Amino acid sequence: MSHNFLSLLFIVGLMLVAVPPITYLERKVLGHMQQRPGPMVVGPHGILQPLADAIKLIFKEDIIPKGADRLLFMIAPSFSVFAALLAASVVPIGFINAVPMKSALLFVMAMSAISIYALFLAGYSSNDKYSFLAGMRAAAQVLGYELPMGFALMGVVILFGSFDFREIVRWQELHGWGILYQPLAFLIFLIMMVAEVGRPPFDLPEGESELVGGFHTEYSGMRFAAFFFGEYINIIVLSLVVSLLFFGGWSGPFVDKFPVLGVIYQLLKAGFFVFLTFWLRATFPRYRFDQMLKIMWKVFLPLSILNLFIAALEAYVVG
Amino acid sequence: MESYLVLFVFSLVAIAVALLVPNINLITNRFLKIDKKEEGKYEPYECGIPRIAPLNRRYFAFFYVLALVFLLFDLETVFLFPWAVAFRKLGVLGVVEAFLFVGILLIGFLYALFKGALKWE
Repeated sequence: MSHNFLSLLFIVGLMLVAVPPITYLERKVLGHMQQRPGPMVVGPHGILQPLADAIKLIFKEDIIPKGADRLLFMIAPSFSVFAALLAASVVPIGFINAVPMKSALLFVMAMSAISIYALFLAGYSSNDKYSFLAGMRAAAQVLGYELPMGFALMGVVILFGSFDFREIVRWQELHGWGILYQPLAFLIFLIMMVAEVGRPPFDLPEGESELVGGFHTEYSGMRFAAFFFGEYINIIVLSLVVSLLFFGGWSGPFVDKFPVLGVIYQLLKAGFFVFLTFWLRATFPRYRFDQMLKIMWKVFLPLSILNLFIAALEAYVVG
Repeated sequence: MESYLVLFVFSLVAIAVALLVPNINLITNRFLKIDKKEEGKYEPYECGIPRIAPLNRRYFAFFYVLALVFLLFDLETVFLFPWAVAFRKLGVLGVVEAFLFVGILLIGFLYALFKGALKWE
């Protein structure tokens, strides 16, 4: 019991502490990919930039626009943080497993799916045209990515025979990494993950060049920051899930003797996918709205159903 | 059972954190001198000009059709997840039945596709 609460403290602490450095890293990586230095002014190489941002955000005036639905407007950012934290709580990192749940994968999916309500509520309640369009786009984006993601995960679950992350990793220790068996599911899940957290090329609800700021146009101060807390925690959680499902999670050499190594392996594997989201942001232009829906429904949905058949065949062969 | 208790306690903590973090500004604003006479900043943003027409909360009918198709398939995934977990225990018959189920829904999907439910107009 005390082990559970300690691990919970560790995981949630990690999530909350990791977000400011990740925003700094993102700006730095993006900068260097675009041949510019990124933040340089605050501290050596701009390393204190997140701190400066935090102080600025905390002392901003809290503005609720005229005609906004005050209750929904105030709840929406809380919703984003709440769903992200709950999703984070069930994901094991190495031997640190706060809530050892049998249906952990399903729970993570559910929690990251409801986090889109935050974007929709924010857009709907702001009484702003840009926010409203962004909220509708967020809702429609769910209609796009949810199904291919579900079917891709279903293929993986057929192969592993469990929703429990510990059993999934145990299976991979016996038979090899999941990506060797399910490369198609990996590709689909990765793309759907980017769509789920609303990152480029699927950042339609934000769309800063067409919708001002999207759903957070009217938000200021920590309310504004809370959306990004939720978003970045979701990125970390889903990266951890990718590392668990397809790359053996904490398995690796010498983990039996030093369990701490497992934590490091898994964080490195997940860290690569966090980096990948920055990379995608620097590389791809944004999808147009109907293009996004079209590619989800007409390309990825049939592909993910095809993957279901592949997984069923593999489950027979591997046993 | 114990893990669910931990999750329950944690969800209470998460609610507290989630309510606190976005509302910090309500506390800090007490210590700041805020000009409330400036009316313009409380107006919803619209290109920096006064609003021409109020917000009209309507959107393309296309999305409602899409949402209906989505609901159908989302229910399908709900039915198929328990099947996926128990895949190895079900044997050949369970597999054939599940794929028949997917097949019937695929026909529905093709019908929607050719009816133009997924076509942007």
